[in-house]
Amino acid sequence: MAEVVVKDLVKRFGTETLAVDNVSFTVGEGEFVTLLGPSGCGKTTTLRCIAGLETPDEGDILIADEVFTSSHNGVCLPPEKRRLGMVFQSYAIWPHMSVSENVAYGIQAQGASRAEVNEKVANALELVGLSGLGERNATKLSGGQQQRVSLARALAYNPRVLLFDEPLSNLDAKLRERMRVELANLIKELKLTAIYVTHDQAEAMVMSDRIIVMKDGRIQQEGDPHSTYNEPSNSFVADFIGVTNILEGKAGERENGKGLWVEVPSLESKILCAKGIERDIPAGSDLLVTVRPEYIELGEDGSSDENVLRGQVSDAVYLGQSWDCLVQSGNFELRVHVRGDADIRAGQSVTMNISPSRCVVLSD
Amino acid sequence: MKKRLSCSVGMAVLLAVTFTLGGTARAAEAPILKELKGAEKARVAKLIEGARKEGNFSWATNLAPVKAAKEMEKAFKKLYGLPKVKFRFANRRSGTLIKRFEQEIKANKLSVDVVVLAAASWLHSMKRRGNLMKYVSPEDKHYSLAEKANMNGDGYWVSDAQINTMAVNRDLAGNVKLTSWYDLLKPEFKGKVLVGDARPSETYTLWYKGLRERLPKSYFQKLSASGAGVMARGSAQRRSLMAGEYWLGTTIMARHNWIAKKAGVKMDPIYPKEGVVALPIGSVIMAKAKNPNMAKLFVDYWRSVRGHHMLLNYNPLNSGRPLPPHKDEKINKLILAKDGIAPPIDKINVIPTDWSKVTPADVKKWKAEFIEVFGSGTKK
Amino acid sequence: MSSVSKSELEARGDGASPVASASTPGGRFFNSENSLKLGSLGLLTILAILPVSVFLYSAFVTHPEAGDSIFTFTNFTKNFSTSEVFDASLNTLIIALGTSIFSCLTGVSLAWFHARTDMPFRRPLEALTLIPFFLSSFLGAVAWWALAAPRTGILNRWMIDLFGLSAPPFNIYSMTGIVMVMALFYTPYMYLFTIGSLNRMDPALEESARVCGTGVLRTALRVTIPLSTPAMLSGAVIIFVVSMGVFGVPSLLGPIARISTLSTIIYTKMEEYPLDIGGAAALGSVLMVFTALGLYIQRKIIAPRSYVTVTGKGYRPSRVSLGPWKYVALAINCFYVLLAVILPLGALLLASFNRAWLGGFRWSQLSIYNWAYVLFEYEYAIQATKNSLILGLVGGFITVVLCTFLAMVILRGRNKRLSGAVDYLSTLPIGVPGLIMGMAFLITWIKTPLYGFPMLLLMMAYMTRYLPYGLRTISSVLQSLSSELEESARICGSSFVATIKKITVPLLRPGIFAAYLMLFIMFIRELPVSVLLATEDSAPMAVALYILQENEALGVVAAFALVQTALLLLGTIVFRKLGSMEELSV
Repeated sequence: MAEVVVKDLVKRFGTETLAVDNVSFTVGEGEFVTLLGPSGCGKTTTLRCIAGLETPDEGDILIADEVFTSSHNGVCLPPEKRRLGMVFQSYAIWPHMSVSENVAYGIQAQGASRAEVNEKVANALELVGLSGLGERNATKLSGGQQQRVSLARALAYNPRVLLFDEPLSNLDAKLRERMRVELANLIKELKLTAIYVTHDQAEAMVMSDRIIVMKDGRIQQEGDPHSTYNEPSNSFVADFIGVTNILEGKAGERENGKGLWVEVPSLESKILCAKGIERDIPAGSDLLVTVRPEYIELGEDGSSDENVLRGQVSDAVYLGQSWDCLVQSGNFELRVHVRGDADIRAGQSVTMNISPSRCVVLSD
Repeated sequence: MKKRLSCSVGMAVLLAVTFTLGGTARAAEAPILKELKGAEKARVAKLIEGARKEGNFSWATNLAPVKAAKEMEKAFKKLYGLPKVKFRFANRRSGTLIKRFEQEIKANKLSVDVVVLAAASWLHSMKRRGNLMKYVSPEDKHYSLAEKANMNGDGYWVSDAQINTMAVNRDLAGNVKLTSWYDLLKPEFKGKVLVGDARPSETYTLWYKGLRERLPKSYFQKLSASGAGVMARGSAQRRSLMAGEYWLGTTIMARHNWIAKKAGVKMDPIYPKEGVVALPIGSVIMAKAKNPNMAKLFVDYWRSVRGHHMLLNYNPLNSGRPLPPHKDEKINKLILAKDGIAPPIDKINVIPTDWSKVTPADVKKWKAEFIEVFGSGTKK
Repeated sequence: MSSVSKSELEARGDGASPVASASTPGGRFFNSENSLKLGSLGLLTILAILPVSVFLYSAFVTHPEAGDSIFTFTNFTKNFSTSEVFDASLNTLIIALGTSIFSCLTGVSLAWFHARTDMPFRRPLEALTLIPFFLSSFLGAVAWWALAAPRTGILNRWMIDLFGLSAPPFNIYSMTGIVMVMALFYTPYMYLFTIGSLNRMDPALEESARVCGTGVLRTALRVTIPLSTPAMLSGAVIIFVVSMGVFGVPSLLGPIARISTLSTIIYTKMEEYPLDIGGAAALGSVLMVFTALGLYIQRKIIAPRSYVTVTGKGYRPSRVSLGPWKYVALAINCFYVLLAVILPLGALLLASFNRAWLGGFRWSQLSIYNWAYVLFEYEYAIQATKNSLILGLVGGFITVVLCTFLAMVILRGRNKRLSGAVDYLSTLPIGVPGLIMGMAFLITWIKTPLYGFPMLLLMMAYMTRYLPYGLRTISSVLQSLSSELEESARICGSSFVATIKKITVPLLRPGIFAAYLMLFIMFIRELPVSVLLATEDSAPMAVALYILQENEALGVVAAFALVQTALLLLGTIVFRKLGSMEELSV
């Protein structure tokens, strides 16, 4: 049974701007779903609509079969009636309250007894590793600790769904990386349903069960991190997540069981693509192919039948665990990542192999 | 138990005493009635009876400061045996009062019974519109001088005078003899003369208009050329003359001389031989006065020698009736004498003006000439 | 989507879907909010718009004072064609421009010294810097007359005696004099308008500029000042408009130099019989047009550039180290205190101990008469003080509650159009000179039973007149609070009202106290409305002072003014203690 259902959501700002344009998705119980996209893509607006902080212009939002928002009968539950938890980018810690008071707020709002409040606050603080800091002034804590308070506050009253609005982006890089893992583990451990908004693709990769990539108010792709990375559906997704090469080409013939041949004029070559070809692609139509740099292997001539390209290393930057190279092949400069122990020099002639399963035909 | 009993007995005694005292006060004849005889006595007694029933009285003026009003109230209540009447009093500039009363009249909510104001054109307009009550007080017959100067209002009011005239700071100017407006043009007074700014003020415009009946335009042009200062408010002019910034004022009211004198500055009014402008100060009863009996009694008091003498202590104004000597010789010398701060108008040369005929157009015309003579709004 | 008709969608776009209110009473997030907004619009209409439009209406009829209602433009054509009005308009513009520029320069510099730098003696100096706020600019003009009148001014005499000058160096009767006095007394407004935003600025913004190699001064000019431009410019607009309506200073210092202003002409039309209400309304409408224009500019150009500078993180801004320059800052602040506080208050103090003011302190005139009179003899003093305290405390409180409410409506609303309307309406009273506001209130309310309760009427009028100031103070704090602080409470399950009570109001507390104090001071100082509407029993201190001004010598007025200043200073200290405010503004 789906926990969260968002259906045909539309939100306009003013008369012109379409912030969210017909967005539909579901989030299963205990699932961690991330809305990923650049700023202005509508991910935060979608989240705020779920929270009840924005009223959508059209569409329905249901959680556990309860209608939160429905444009059909004009229902729009106020945020306090939704029993959700939310963690904000700015932490939104109330500076006039202590840590405990911050955490206790939501529990008290439910009318819990004093003992119950104390117990739940202690539990929540223990969960986020802040036991013993309850009487501190919340604003005197470090950024990481404040974010933990904010999380404890959202967890404390057993919300049905946890919402995260870029919660880690105010932390420094090291802390952010640690918190990612910690947060994801905690959510899993507690078997919570979570919707997480971020513009950081690495964060999305590490934490999510499923990623929904958005752009200009529309969903671009939906899937687990692996498929999102390896089989991007369009050039935006391919480009936004990770580093990639995007090649312009013309559809050739299909080779049964192997894939689709694509004529790539800039490489003065043909490439066999095994992914993204499920749809009907008429021969001769223009299309785009993406190949991740790390899937391009340098090898010997003749080690493979398909997708062998020759070129010359025009630039190579050593990154320790790998080389980040640009290889001139035909009229195209391919980005290629090579293991750090390889021997690479600029000017060197190389032969490249690309497995057809790594060549993805994009939908645009 | 015993204590409570004695307590209630005490209360009863107290109540009884209060009643008898109240009773005797009511029974006793008001001091004023002892002086009166016949029909007048009956008239006043009837008014007092009516006033007692009314129990309230409200009046307003731009003349009497609060202290004077309180003293007058006290004296009045004693004289007329009306200790319980509640007085309300407003002391504001005439413009402020007029604004308020005009709106109250329009809304049919007039709250004031008696108004004493130096505002000739308003008084006449009120009379024309039927907003005033005709009332001839027995004191009115003494106001023949004001009648001659066209200051009275046909049985609606008799008038005292607000005279804006020359004043000199003797501490600075010394005992120089000043008898004519032309004395101001003497070279030693160059830049030492202060004129009230007619631009924002009807009073000073009427002063200018009045003096122009006796003095040519060229006189004022010379005055302007000799560096006369132009200043807007009476209080500002008084401060300036007291501080010695200017030596001679031309539009100074008796009140300001009196304030200066009380503070120890020898500021004397001068009533030049060419004459002075006297603005009517009317004491009028509103047609819709809620307390007409009180109003009539109070107007009687205001117009009487008693009332005038009482006011002299606080805000001397030039009486429209001849006044017998005050019991305080100092006041006679300082205020009522011919060269005093506020002699009654029988002792001064008043330039007669028919105030009922002064129109807004006149005011506009003379204001324009004043501006022409003393400079416009442009910075030099 | 097909099941939803277009008109239904449009209805929801405005947030007030009738269906929503029927199916979930008060449930729709928008609904309660919009009705609150409409409610506050209604309240504002009664408070401000009704009286002002009743008054403005008289600009378009022939003889409003006679109840005549023939539509006409003669009030405009007649009044704007004269050269007197032209000259006066020019003077008014010069004075208003000068006042806003100079008070902006001084006020912003002083606010910057206090909020962002390590200038020494900040705390004692702040209290001194704000003292001019306790006095009316009219009293400031009287005091400066005593100091710098060409022949008798204390300063002029000293300069002549000290340096053997042939002519007095200062002339208070000049455009310069008028602008100086006005700027000195409006500087605290500017200070209060900007210090809030400077206090709340993220020091990282300045620090990053310093790191980039710019000096302290350049940083201030290039980063700090531009960042607080919204607060500054809107403050300058307000001072510009307000100083156009100020009557006291030009009426006192103008005539000698033959300077008249729109406000002095309006005064004449309103205070001299026959009243020219139509003319006054026509001239007054000019001020309102300027206000509306200023507000428009502010909203279009300035407001979009305001930045939310405080989030839920909470930090204490660090200060800029000025090095030796801090003594320059100190000197500038001391010079301001000298001109705006020590000299004028000193002059009043000297005058209060002289029976007569003979153009300088005279031992021969030494007397405690003025003080004895004011403290023990003046009949109005006690009653007026009581009235003022009631008006200031009760009226101030009600106003502050209303301001908080309106600030929430304006800044936390989702329907921007309605919010904008509320914002406009609540700011417009700034452009109405007190004299006109008083008259407008009189005309509007005289026919209602309210007229029988002058204290209530006064409170309403004060509320209307000073609403914009209180609103500004509170909304500047609210603006700096991230709305996420409230949103997170809503999500935690607390209702709209509970959130206001537990989160918003506690967080706004410093702003609310600052606004309350500001309103308390302004209410006690207010004259033009009070003098018209107050009766004997309801007269506040300002009216008592006005009556003294008309009937007593300078010393008495000075003594009473000093008593009032002391009272306001005491009030400020008490307020600060109660509100545990670190600064007057937040």
